[in-house]
Amino acid sequence: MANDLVALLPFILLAMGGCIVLTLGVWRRYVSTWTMTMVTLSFLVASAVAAALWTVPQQVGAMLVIDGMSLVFTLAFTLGTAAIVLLAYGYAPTQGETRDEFLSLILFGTLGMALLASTKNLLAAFVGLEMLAVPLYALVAWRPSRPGAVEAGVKFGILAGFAAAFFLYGIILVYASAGTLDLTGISSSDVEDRMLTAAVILVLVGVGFKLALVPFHMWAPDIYQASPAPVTAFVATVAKAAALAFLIRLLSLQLPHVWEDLLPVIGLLAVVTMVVGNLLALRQQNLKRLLAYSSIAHLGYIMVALAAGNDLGRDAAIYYTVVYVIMNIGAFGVVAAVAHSAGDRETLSDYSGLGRRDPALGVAMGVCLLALAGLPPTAGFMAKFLAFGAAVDADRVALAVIAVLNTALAFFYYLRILVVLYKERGMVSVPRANGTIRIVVITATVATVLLGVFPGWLLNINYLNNG
Amino acid sequence: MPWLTVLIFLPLVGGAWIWVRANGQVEYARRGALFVTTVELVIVNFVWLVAEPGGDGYLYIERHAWIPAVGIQYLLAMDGLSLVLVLLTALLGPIAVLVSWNAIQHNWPAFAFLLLASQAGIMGVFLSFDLVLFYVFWELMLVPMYFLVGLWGHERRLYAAYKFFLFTVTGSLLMLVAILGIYFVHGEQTGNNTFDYFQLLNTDVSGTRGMWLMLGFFVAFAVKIPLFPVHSWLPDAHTEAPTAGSIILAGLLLKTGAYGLLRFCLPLFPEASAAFAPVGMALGVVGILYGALLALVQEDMKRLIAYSSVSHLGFVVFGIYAWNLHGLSGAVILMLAHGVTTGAMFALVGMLEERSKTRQLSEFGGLLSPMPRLGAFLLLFTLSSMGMPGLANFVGEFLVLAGVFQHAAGLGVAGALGIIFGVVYLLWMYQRAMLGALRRERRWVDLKRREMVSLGIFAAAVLWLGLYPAPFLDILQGPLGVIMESGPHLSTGEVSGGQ
Repeated sequence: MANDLVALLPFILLAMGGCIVLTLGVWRRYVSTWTMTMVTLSFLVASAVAAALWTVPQQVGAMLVIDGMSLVFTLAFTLGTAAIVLLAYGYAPTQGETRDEFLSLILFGTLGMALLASTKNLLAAFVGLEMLAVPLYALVAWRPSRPGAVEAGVKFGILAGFAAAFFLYGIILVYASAGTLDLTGISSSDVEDRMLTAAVILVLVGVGFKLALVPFHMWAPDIYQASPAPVTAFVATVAKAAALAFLIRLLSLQLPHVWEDLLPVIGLLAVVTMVVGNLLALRQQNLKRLLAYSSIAHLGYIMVALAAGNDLGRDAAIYYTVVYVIMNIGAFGVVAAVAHSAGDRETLSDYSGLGRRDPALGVAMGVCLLALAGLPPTAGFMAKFLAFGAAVDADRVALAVIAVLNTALAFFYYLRILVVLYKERGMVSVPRANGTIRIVVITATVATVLLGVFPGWLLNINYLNNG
Repeated sequence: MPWLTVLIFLPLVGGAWIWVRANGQVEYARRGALFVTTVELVIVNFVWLVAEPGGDGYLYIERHAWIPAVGIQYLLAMDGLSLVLVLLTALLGPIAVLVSWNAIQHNWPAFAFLLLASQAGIMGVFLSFDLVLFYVFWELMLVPMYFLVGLWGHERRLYAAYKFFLFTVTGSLLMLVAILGIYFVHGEQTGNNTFDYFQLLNTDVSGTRGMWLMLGFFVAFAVKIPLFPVHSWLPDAHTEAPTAGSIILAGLLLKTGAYGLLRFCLPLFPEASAAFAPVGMALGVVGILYGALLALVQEDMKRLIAYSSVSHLGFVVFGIYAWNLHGLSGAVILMLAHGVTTGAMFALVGMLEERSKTRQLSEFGGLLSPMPRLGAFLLLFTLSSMGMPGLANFVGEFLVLAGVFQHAAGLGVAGALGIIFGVVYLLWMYQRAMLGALRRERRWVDLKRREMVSLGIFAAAVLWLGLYPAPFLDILQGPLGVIMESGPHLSTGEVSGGQ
């Protein structure tokens, strides 16, 4: 029991942090935004430290399992969220407003993510997914006076509700066919009927909505555009990564007859997601929408790795997910850094000349964009390299070729942004970006390069103890 | 001393230093770039002098573990083939700086960094013997080039830069799939997952699988060379690039494609390449004739020289796929010769453009009398480019034709026809630019000392390669012999000494 409590410490810290920040909001004396941010950060970092001290592997109760994968993802979620909290603190349009509601929602959302990363039970997964989803609607609709906020929140809420319904229906069917909701239990039950396949498809649809895979992607660009940049970063990076973490765990189950039917479907999903995401991004003039479409395409590349259905594919997907979070935090960080006090700069031309005015931000954005494009020696390249390698290893060469052609296509729009950044004329004034945002952006950039040069840090981890 | 690492990272670190430290001071950036490139050239020459070939024919090898989890190493090596190309790369460095001295008008520090970074990337391509490391440098050299064209180029620079990047990146990504393919084939056969070039050489890839993998590599190299159907980025990129960019593109980037064929396509996939050789030679001939015919009708001098590059590189591919010692050594010598000759011609056009703000042949005419020195240099390089005996290109073209005639006389005749076309368009170009009556009333200023120095270096290289190519042929004998052995043909002749 005591051991379990120690293992649960990261989760407990996140929940406690959320409650304490809420209490600070109604405290008799006014608590400054800086103090609240610092309290939030310390709980996030404490949770990360507690996670780093986990003894892996171990099982906690019947619902949770702590292994290499949950360790890596919990670290990525807590630290990634910490970065986003810093972004929000320095973000000009909501200066001084990112207080108790905002910060506690973020902490509770992070708790949901951490649960998703460690769940070994479908019901716990559903709890995690909803614990993440509810704060997300609230964050998207946060500051209702902002134009479009309520509309975006409602849109997101309705679609996420549908997704949750599919997901629930899926796990009910799983229970009906396998007789258990425990992931290891499902793995060891040798049901041969098609009901399990149908059930997994429904669960996939539910997760697909969260990941904005094509054809479930319609919500993403609108939400990205309507939300303030730090919220967009939260929805687009760590929140998606949490759903991915669950998906990766689901696809690592030993269900040969189900995967035989489903891997081609996942491959097809990957192809459609990549192609549509890239084509929509190609001519997009709004930077936030462009990043939305590009992240759809990135999910497609991750699905290529998962469609391979081998160990390399799983490791590649984990690596890619972590790298995806870091690269996008860097890119959204730049968007947050140059926001007007009235709102984000949206169209590409608003960014022209940024690289000349502010060389540090320019280089950081350049590195993050080239990493998103997949240029060596950044982590973005290594991620694609491993993902496509997994596909080739699984003899899905056609899938790998389609993926590389998409990568080539994607270079076009990333380069377009880069050229805009270094235009001779442009931005009359760049606001002196806030120091905290600057730190986040530069850290993300350095991490992108370091993880590309030393991918062994993430590759040498034994993710699932069953190998 | 890990010399190979120094060769790659000196320009990169030096360039970054200049960029950060220059603070917008143009003079600091120029002199710094000249200093770094000169030091690089000195080191390359030093490395050449002190090199002692090991038993396996490699002068230097550096091997460190990099990502052991997937069998990627930091593996650099240098043999004769790498050495001559590294020499060319180092030689063009200071010249590219010298010709940009006044031609680059804004943001010199960033320009210096990008120029040096592209030099570093190209060095890396010629020295990497781990396939992933090779791929890293292969992609990495594109980015600085993209910015050089896109930011400092002429009117349609963005279009040219996009086209250049997208063509090359598509080709190289297909190569990435092929690299992964041969990695897993090798892993299956030996149980040893590695990207080590030396070990992959022993992989047995035959049949259709070998053909597909070979084609994956071939596409990437064909785009860079560029071969006939995928050449269309080249005239745009060359024309729009600043002079230094054109010199690096023509002198070095195109060579990386031919180098890739020699280093990877032929030795890794001997069977598939042998089956493909007739197609390769045919593509070479098409390139020779097509490039020459298009060069005939160009009005823009830079475009004319760009198409002449397509023609010359056709010869290189022609020689490579002849796959005998004459053909291969001819191809490599022609690569070097084309690097210096075409580099010099681009430099000259750049000087003309600086003086007149135009590159149109119809705007020139009679320039020999106001600018005798420029005229004399242009004559020298035009003659070399035409294949005049005693100058650089002749040696290469002669050897290539000698190699091809040994087993495809008909194709050889077609190739020789290309030389005749070359004489026509080059002499015509010279005549329209330099001879006749002065078309435009303006004061022409002859070459200054800085320009004389850079052209003088080119001229010395052209004469050396033309009159005494023996040292280069000697260095190349070993590595080309290895490529020969992997091939289907028996060695049919020894190449020794000058012609």
